[in-house]
Amino acid sequence: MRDYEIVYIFRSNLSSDEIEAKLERYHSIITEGGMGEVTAVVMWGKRHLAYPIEKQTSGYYVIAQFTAQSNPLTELERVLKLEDDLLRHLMVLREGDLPLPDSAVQRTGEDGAGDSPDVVPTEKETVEEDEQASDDEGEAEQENDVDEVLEDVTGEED
Amino acid sequence: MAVPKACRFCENKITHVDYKDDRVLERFISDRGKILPRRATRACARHQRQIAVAIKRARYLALLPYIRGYHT
Repeated sequence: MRDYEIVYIFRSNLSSDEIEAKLERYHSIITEGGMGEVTAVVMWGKRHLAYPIEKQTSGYYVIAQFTAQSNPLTELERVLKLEDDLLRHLMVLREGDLPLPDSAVQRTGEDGAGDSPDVVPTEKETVEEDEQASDDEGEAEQENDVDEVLEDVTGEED
Repeated sequence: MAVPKACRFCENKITHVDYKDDRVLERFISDRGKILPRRATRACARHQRQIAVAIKRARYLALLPYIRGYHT
């Protein structure tokens, strides 16, 4: 069993119901057989793409974290590759206790790029979610620090 | 403006560079979208590697451009 993180980019013209249904379908591949578990799903929302993908200029980002054995993942990859409404997906090993990107979520919300993002914890995770929230605050502060000091770093070079 | 002496990620005790945080990664690419070299980022070896991987992942996810300032 390992921890993974996956980022989906859906076509932005899909309704949230359609996206939910697709996520349900993908995640059932992971949870099938009772070995895997989806620990968190974050709807990042609609976002402008840095470059067009399949002639689309915006996409709907969803990030999910899960634990699974490696066997169902090849099947998941196969399904995702066949999916036309999915512009991109990236499945990576979760690196330590990476907090969910709350700061990034808020940012996309502020931009008014799309619907306000929605954290959808699975039932089992509600307790852990709370404690994660407090963790995130610390992390967010740290990130701001980095931002400030990095400004010095890169400002120098420009 | 003082030139930072040490890796900023080490100083802030950040163990993993997040590929989803394009706002931070933005500071490590040039105005053309290239990954900045160590001498510019002042990052330690470990974090420079992480930055490079994170930027490449972010590019794939269209969070960062592969090339900036080039219009067809």
